[in-house]
Amino acid sequence: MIRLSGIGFSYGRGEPVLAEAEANLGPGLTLLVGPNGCGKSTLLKIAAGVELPDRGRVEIDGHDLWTNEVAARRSLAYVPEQPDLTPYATVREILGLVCRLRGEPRQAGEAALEKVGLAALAHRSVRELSMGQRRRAVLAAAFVGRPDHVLLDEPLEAMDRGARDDVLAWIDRLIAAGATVVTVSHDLEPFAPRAARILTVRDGKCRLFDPLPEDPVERRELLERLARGEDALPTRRSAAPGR
Amino acid sequence: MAPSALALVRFHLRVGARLALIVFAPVVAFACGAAGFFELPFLRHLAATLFTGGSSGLLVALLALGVAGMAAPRVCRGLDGWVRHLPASGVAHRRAATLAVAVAQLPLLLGLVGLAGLAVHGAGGFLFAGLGLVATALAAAVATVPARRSLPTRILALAAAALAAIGHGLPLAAGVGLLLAADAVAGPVGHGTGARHPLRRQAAAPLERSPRGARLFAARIAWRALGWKLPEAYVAGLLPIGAAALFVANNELPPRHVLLAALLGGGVGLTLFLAEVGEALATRRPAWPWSRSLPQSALQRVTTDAAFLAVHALPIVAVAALLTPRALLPLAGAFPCLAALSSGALRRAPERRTGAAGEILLQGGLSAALLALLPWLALAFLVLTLPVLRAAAARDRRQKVSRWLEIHHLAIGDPQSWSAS
Repeated sequence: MIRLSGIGFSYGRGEPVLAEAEANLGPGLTLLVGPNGCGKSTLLKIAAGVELPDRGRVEIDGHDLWTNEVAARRSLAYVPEQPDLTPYATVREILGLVCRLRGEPRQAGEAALEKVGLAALAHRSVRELSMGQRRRAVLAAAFVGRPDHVLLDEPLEAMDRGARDDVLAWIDRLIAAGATVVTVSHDLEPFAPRAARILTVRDGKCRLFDPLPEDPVERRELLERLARGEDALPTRRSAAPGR
Repeated sequence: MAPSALALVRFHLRVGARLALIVFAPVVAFACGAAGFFELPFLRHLAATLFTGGSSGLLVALLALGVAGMAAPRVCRGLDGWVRHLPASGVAHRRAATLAVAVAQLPLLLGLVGLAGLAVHGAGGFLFAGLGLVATALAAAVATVPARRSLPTRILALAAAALAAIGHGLPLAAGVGLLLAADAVAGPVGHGTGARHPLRRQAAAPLERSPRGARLFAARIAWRALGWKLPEAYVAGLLPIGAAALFVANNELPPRHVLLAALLGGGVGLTLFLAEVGEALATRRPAWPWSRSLPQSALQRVTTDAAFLAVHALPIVAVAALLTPRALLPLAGAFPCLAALSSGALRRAPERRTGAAGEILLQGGLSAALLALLPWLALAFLVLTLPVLRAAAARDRRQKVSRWLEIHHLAIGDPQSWSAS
């Protein structure tokens, strides 16, 4: 369970990106949608412990992300949209670090690299990788171990067909294993049938839609509207905003 | 030590060691080679200045801070991003990065230990000097790695570096105490400069339609890309003119030789300025593939760059003309051509290990020598400006802006790369 309580955050002195944002995200896929700049990626960074909120707290399975940092992050995997890896480490070293921190054997890192097709480039430093290869490297890092809380920022972007299928199959396995998966995506098609709930950010507040309509057409309609930043239609079946 | 902290330390030790090998070892090797040319008394004098003089601690601390200041942005790149979601505390991240920055200073430390051996007598004194250097390196690292409570940390760490570098007795003990206090105060790893302000890096206004608007837009982008490199380039450009001024002031020279000195100083100064600015532009403002789809010709693009370089080089010409007004016309005739040559060099920089600076220095150096010996060649330079611009435009068109040049990726468009800074 990822619990965000009273989150406030701004990048400067201007308009806050998030103000008193609240959300409880349980097992299953939470699709985080909304127009550009509404605060989706910021919310994900805050949930991943990358950005410290100005106000409020984030808990992962009851562990505060900033006072109990190690325990809270133990089951966390985050795939950012821009893979910001240190340029002076090799891919193998980064995966080795992830394995040690998650208590996994080194072979788990090698297997993850094999899975994303980077095994042959494992000796290269990050600055020698293309952006797509860097994305694969962070994806490989997310494959290591059994993370229960997975945060994905546009996971299918810049992926070829095969890689997309692999990522979606991995997400399916995570959902089946009862993991909490939160993904930001403008590509709604692959995630619409998998989503257990929709989270959107509007005026700095989180709006959670749970449960979602069973009817695929209604579900799709709701997703499209929320992704455009519009209000949810009053549907025949309830798709009531949660907390 | 917690397993997570140990894992981070091992990881960052490798990063620091790699940085030390890549960036600083060649520099220190060069310094050692240069030192080989000097006599032992010179080295003894240098060692005494660094280790036994009145301001010895300050000099060593400044050296360590300089190297740590270069290493820290590279080690800490991404430290406030993806890696923070891993199960390790912010304090562990900061300490591991601090260690990496300290390790990156190893080549400097080894050089200083060698010098300490010349200045300090007795095993005890040498040991204390070594301990002082290690504490100084750590303090410099603490001062440069971003921390949550950065101001008190930096104040304590700077004081620790200056005291520990003295390398004996009470100052060393006080330095170590302040270092521990700085570490205790620092807290978890902080954000790098501007890292939390993506809005500051928002894209500029879209390209306007008029060529003048496009030029202003290009100039704005270039100014942003250059930042503090521009004043640095002026300093580099003014140095040869200063040397020429000293030469003229301290010698009884006929007017012909004064002109020669002014032209040589001015020409070399222009070359250094253009090389510095050109290299910075090539690395920090690489070719922008999308902009090539806009209604602007290659000739317009290279002319815009040449005009930008020429306008900014004007003060160098003006200062060189202060030596003798007769230098103004030859320099004014030659510098548009040098700016056009530099604009062309920018277009080949991604394919060359010497970047844009190598070509500019070679062409500019030769041009400055020719101009000093044969000032009338300024007319030829002026006439050549247009063909040079056309050649630069042809280069611009031939650029493979979307091609993946892996070996040069470290420099091109990566402001954190050592070769790009």
